[in-house]
Amino acid sequence: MDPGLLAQYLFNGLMLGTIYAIVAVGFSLFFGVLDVIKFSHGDVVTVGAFSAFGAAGLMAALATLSGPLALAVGLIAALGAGALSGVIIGRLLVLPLKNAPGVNVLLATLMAGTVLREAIRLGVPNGGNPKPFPALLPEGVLKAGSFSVGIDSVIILLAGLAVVLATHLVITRTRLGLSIRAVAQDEEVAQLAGVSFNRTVLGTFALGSMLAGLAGLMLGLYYREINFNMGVMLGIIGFACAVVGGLGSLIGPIIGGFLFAGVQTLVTVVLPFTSAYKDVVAFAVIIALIGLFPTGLIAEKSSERV
Amino acid sequence: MSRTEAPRPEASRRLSVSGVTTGYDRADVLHDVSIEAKPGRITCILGANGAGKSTLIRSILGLTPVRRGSVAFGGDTITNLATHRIAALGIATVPEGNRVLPRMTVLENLKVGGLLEKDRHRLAARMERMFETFPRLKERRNQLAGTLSGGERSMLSIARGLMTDPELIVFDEPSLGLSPLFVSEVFRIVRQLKEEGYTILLVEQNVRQTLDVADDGYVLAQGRVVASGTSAALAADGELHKAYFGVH
Ligand SMILES: Nc1ncnc2c1ncn2[C@@H]1O[C@H](COP(=O)(O)OP(=O)(O)OP(=O)(O)O)[C@@H](O)[C@H]1O
Ligand SMILES: [Mg+2]
Repeated sequence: MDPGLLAQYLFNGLMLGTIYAIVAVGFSLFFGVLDVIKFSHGDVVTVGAFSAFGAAGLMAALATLSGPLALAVGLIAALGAGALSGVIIGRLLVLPLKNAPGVNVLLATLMAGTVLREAIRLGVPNGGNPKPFPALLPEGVLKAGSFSVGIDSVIILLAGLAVVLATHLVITRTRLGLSIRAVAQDEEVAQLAGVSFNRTVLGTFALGSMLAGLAGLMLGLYYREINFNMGVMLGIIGFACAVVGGLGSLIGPIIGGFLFAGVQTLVTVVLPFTSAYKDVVAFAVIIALIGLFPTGLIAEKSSERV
Repeated sequence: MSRTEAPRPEASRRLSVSGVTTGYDRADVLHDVSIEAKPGRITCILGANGAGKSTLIRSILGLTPVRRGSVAFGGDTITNLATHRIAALGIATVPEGNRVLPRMTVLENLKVGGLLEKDRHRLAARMERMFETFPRLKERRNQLAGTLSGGERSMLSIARGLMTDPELIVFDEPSLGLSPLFVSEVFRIVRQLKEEGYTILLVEQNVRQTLDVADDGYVLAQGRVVASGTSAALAADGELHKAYFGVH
């Protein structure tokens, strides 16, 4: 295969892996603190994308904004809307169901996700159709031989990797991170040490959902198009990545994310004529891995668990 | 134990449990239990397995809801207050089984105990003091708490409690499962903490050593207080020993 094209595929795989990892980390954090699966997580990605889209569009209509300013507005909107929807879902649906079976939370958040999705489809003008996402990042192309990549894509990838790293630092180095891990490991011991259970849970939901909102913005910027149901598949992929990597772990879902994107990319590169089946193959690999490593690639007892 | 920071001011608040009835699901486990832990003293609660000692501790700390009755600490009524708020009032707990946060290092466990303290310098001084008091923990500061020995775990559980800068420390069977050497060490620490001015509520099954160290005591049987008094009086009560402690 042409090396330039190969590099193109690899770059795309890295980008997808980063986005999957960012979404998967959220699933893992929620499971870590509360042993719940928050299935609306994928749709929070969509909320982030549409909030950035709306905010950037609104600002552009009101005033001619410079690129960086419009980007900043979009970023704040994506993060803010993500965090807000996470906190609302956590407060109204997840905390009240704390003592209910986990499947109830799964069902409630699955429905909440549908509500978010339909609200976007029906609430946004012409919301059923794909929307062109504005180019908020600097234009330009980097070339190396037959490989070319947009500067915007490079920025998105680097920012995404930085966010993955930053999340790791938040969990391991900050007071919030310490509280999150304490509650995840023994909520009674954490409370006896003065950690507020509710605040920590909501903090976790804010953090994880902020990441989802950011993933939405990244997807919009990368594909230049957003869609009311863009979060559905991403939610399932993120969940799968978290499970295969190890729910409740921090490194696990990141590994899972790159693994999933890696398999997708491999299928596209090695068997181009079957690339339409890349998701099928990737999910089959995930199923096989879950069979081989029932508690995830990162083992239950490991220090890598949140 | 040596201390570098100024000793804490004398404890002044009394813990009062008045007529508490509580339990799990339908069944009541505690029936109209009243106890007091006076400031600066060691109060012990003795009783056989299943007497309701841990349940009493849990209801004081808001972990098992109180159905009837009330709990007060100093001027604050803390009945069914959120557990973290009770902790913030100055009550530290060394829970049953000397629980630690297993996938965190020793240092991180202590930091969790220090989360209530916003002042970095005070926190650092307190951490330093813990390492002076428990040199073993200093050696193992970067080891995962889940890999500590039982004795080390009990030290860590106590140190984590002290990191919250409490006035009252509640111990739920700290000597359980420890070797005789560590049991003596735990009792030595409890006595030392009293001398430093802390108020202590000590749940134990180790009758002799507990009455030896405690000032006041209560005996719990089947969820009721069946005897109370100074520990000297309890120790001298032969009938009590025959009836509840299986000593003949
Ligand atoms: N979570 C629970 N759900 C239902 N019943 C419980 C629960 N915890 C304790 N009990 C019951 O309450 C009673 C008192 O238990 P508790 O743990 O308070 O006793 P204890 O005095 O602390 O005993 P031990 O010395 O063994 O720790 C027991 O009969 C026990 O079976
Ligand atoms: Mg007990």
